[in-house]
Amino acid sequence: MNESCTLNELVLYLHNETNIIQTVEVQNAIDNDEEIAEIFDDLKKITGFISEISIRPAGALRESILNYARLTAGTK
Amino acid sequence: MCKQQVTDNELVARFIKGEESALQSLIVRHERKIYTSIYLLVKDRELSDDIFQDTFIKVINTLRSGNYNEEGKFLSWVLRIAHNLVIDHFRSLKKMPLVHDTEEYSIFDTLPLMDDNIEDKIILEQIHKQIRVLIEELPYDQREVVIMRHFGNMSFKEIAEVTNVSINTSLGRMRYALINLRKLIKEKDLYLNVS
Repeated sequence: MNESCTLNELVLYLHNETNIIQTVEVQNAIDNDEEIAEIFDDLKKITGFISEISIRPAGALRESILNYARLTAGTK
Repeated sequence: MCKQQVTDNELVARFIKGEESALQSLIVRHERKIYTSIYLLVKDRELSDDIFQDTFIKVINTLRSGNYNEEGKFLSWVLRIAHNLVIDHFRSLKKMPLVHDTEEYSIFDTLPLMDDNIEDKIILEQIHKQIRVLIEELPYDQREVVIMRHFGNMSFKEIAEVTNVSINTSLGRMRYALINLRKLIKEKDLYLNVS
């Protein structure tokens, strides 16, 4: 595998989108190549943090949307 | 005994039948992911508020019109609506964010410098804030893929369809984004402080 292919497959593997053959290949690469293993470990942690980012909207926004729903109920 | 959570589909069905509290439950369940996605795309709180509201107005109108047929994919569907509104906004300004498909994009030059001596007591919240800042600095197309995949749980195939690119392109954008983030985190020594 060239570097680009490895990285693409790593990203797919990271997101559980590899097919069976790719899964075996990537797992094999991770097990036998320290550099790939390190990249994979880093990307796994980064994506973990990304998924935990959370920005809460103001409560008034929800109320405003619900008001819209109330006001327009029965108009369709 | 654990109470089983009502599914999105059930809540959608209840709302269509007139149960307003079902809409409230859907909003409460997904508002953080949806709002975070919008904010990371537009990087402006007031604009995020507007797009968030407009998104749900479209959601309400579409559900009531009987045109909703996204079984089991409510969140992805809402995020697609939000994404389209973001695109509409940038188009109205005639200023689509520039696309930079390169690992060498200059985010390293534009980011504010961080303290060299990041204390050992960095809490998770601070790490999230830093990652958020890094994501905000990614090129739009890379940010878009990261958001759709991680907040909308969309596959690369679905992202490719929504953004009108090939699967390889959407996958490549994610690769660039993650590699950029990794380089930056290492460069700023942020990673070493994660326990």
